[in-house]
Amino acid sequence: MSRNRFDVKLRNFRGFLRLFFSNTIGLIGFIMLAFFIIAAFLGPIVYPYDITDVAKGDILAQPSREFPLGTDQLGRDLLGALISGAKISLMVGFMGASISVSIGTIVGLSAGYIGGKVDSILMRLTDGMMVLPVLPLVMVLAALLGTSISNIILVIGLTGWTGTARLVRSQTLSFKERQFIERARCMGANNTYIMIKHILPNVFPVIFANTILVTSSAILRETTLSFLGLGDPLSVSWGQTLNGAFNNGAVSIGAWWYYAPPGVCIILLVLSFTFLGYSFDEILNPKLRER
Amino acid sequence: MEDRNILKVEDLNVFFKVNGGIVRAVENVNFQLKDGESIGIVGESGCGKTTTALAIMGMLPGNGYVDNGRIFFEGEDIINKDEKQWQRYRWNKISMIFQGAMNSLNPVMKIRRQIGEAIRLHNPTITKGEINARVVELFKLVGLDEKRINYYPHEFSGGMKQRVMIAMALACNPKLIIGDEPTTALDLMIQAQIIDLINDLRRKLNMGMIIITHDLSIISEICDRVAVMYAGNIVEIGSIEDIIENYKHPYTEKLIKAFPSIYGDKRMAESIPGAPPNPLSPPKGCRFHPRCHKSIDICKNVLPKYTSFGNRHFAACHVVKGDSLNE
Repeated sequence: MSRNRFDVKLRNFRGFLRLFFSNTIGLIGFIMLAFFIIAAFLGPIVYPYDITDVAKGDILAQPSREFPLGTDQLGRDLLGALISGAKISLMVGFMGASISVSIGTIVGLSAGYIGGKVDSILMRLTDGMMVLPVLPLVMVLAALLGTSISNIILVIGLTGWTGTARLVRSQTLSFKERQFIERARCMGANNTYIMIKHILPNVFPVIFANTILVTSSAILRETTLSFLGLGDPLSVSWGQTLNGAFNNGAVSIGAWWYYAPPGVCIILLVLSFTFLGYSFDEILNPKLRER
Repeated sequence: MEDRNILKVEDLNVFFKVNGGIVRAVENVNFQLKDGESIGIVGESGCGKTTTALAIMGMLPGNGYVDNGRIFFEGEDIINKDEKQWQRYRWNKISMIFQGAMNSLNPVMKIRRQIGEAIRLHNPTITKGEINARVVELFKLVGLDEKRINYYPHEFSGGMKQRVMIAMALACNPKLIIGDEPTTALDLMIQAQIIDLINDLRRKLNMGMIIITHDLSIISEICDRVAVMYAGNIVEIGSIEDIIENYKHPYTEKLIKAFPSIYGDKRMAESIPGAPPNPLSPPKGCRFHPRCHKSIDICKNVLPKYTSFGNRHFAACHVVKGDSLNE
């Protein structure tokens, strides 16, 4: 029995992988993301870097053998900054997205399933969050809570859940009318049980695809905050580097090695998430599949 | 045992509040079910069959309520139970085979867990091994391959899903099973198999059964007795032989004639002219009289009472009883 069952599972997983890798865009996104993840984990080992080290180079030196991506206004190595930025971007992205998606899922699931007054209150709250101008809100919160990387993650998580909440609510509304929900209730299941055991697993694919997109917007938001000077000064993120480049006139004096690499990395990382999200959408929604 | 009623429904009225007023979905429904007996409820769409069943299960939707009447299960009045008591009673005592098996299974949950759920919710202390053993036992009982307990619903065919639903209904050894159109959406061969299975299980487990359908042929295969419903009322009730061969009510007559016979001459199946009445404002008197080919004046004003024809065979009709306006 288990052998047979295992085969089926294996086949399903292989089928998923085949679908995934036959999707060129998804494959490109996957390779790009894998590159950044490997760089974030192995980079600091292969190429050690500490922002508090004494600067060794010239001020704003061009790329050279010693400093492959040149130096900044204090003579610090920029390649090291770029590599350590990958870790921060990914960390903020994943953790911010998990907070957002968790809040959004709880709000959407309760609003959709319980309905009535709870639905009205939660959805008006969501509407309220949606119409608030996010950037000023995030700036005020970041300034208020203080600039540390955990506060940045918290702020991003607390402001980014509205889309997920709406999405999960609409899916929940559709699933709660299905007959197996009535059957479960008839069998003696209470509301919490039905929400967690019956509706959540059905909504999960959508939440998963949504998480990928929320992650990329969390990364962008961190970059924005850091660029505006509200980031953690001790964690060298890409936005922080861009902030330094901007403040020290790197653009006007043509020090491209200061601002171009972090900019390109941000674009590629966000693009990799977008590609992945797009291909998951296609896999999870067979109607979009081409023969 | 002769007189032991497992289920007794007395003067049941179920109404729904809607925007336009009150829908009288079920009115003055009376019937009894003896231990191990099976009754079929037959009638057109919207005549209150499913509503009656839902009232017995305590599963009426939010705007529905029992206006009047009592339901006794093993002598205990169950109509005023609160939700917690209902949950203990449902599935342990009365369970249900739902309409449309394909929609009654959660597509992302293994069959073993879905059947196990019914057992676990009613026996919180049971171990995983015991649940699995019970699921395997149930799979054997309904004729499914026990190797497939860990499959997902989409890996089962329609008939197999229906068997799963039956296994699920049997999970807690109920005394009464309500089958809401248990063979709808199955092809004829599978229908026959499911009917055989239900008959077989009923003999083995000695359960009471209520089958709701619009298909008289299914009822005549499974049930001992038939209740014919029209616009919220039971118009005739009796043993299957009495109803099919010795029907009294004009509606029953029309309903039976609407089925083509495989033995008799080739003829068009008869239809009943008109449409069922609007349940918001049912006609006065006998609800069938505007469509009835035998109606007389009294039918328009007075709701007929039941006339007994022996052997627990009753029909509610003035013409059959011989009533007239002068009486």
